[in-house]
Amino acid sequence: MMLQGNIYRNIYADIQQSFGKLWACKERGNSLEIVTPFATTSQKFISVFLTLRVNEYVVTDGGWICEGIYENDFDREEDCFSKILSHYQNSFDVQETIASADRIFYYKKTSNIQAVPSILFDLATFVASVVSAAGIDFVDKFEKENKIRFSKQANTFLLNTFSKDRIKLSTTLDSRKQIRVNAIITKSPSQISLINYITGSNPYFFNNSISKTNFILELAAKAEERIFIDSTICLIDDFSDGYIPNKISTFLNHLEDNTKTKLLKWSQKERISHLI
Amino acid sequence: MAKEIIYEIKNNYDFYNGLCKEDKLTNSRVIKLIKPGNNKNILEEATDVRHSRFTNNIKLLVAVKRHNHKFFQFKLRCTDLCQMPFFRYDSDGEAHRNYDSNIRLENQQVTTPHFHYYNEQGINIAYKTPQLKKEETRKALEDIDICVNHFYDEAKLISTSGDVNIEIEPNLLNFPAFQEDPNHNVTFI
Repeated sequence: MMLQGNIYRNIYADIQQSFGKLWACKERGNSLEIVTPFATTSQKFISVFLTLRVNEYVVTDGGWICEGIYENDFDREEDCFSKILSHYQNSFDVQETIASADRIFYYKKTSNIQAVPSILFDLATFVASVVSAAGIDFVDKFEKENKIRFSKQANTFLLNTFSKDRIKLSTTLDSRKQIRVNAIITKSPSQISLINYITGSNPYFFNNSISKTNFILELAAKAEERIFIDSTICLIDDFSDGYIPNKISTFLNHLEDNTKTKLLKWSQKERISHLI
Repeated sequence: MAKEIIYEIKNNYDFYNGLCKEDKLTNSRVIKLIKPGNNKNILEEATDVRHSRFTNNIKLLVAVKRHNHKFFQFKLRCTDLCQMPFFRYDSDGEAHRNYDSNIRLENQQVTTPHFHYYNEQGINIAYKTPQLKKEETRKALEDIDICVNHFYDEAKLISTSGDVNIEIEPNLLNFPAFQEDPNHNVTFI
């Protein structure tokens, strides 16, 4: 029994030592990148970034989740992923900030230096969990790829068309943060335009995309913030495989009649400046 | 389980080996990075690659972060084999885990900069060349212009017009070209 106890203690010491060696760091200007032993299901080790601001220690993901540095997708409009993200964000009390139109940072902070390991533990677990969850195929693979493709194309187009300080991508309209749209363009301090993207890898998914947009715009019309909405525009991906006019026109016409939204085909996207 | 298996590579490993280990030619002496890819913050350019034996379509992709020119990737892709790059170099970014329980845990972690290839099981493996392990040469390879030629050597790429140069878009807005701190200028309320 004594011998076995010694073996266990040796193995335990080896585990501790081996885990300990997985920590690494790299100076990055005024921040320190800390490579942690936390890993994703896609064989990536998580890095977090420690920055001292005034009297607070901030630990962030460096914007890497949003940027897809872990070769991850990041689609907050995907319902299942969005629920998982919210679950981990609430559980670990992780804050988020939008640094510019297309950069979202997740972070935790403390003024107590003793609490830094604790918030780092939370943030690294959060990042590892979210990045791993992003690798799950919640929907049809082609549909997922199609949606991400169009979303990236449309985001890039908007960022190239309007100045960055006027755009918020994948953002919520309401204070409860429940009505999420693809983009909000600020026209004046009290006037905004809501932009939604509609696409689908086949007519079924295309109609789903229309239905979801219809529902979001109905909710937007009831929100307290509706008084700020100057216009709503739907960018229609007429290059996608799901765009088969005779199979989607009923849904599209209903969307237009019901919400009074402006439909703008991707092939005519340059006209957006005239609509806002 | 914490590994991804690329079955297209695992099931065609002889072809994969030929793609990686046999000579490949490119014509361009200068690769110009002026167009953003899907991500507005990253400049990307694709160059045609001719394999010495295979006629498949192969591309060399070069990508660099607009505001941190030390953060770049070189990737070789052959979509006839699989969608993801079959050989890659990361100058910066996340550390990789080489998933193999025969390797001691602490040695499974490979920080950047590193190369990537796939083993016979179709599992992505990262490694450092002797030049990347040595601090002096690693530092020099932070320069994309120097590193591209190291990538050519490692990937068995041959430029038919001599050493390759990378030209990055003129910095018209005077953004810092080497902003390594991702938290720089971000407000955490």
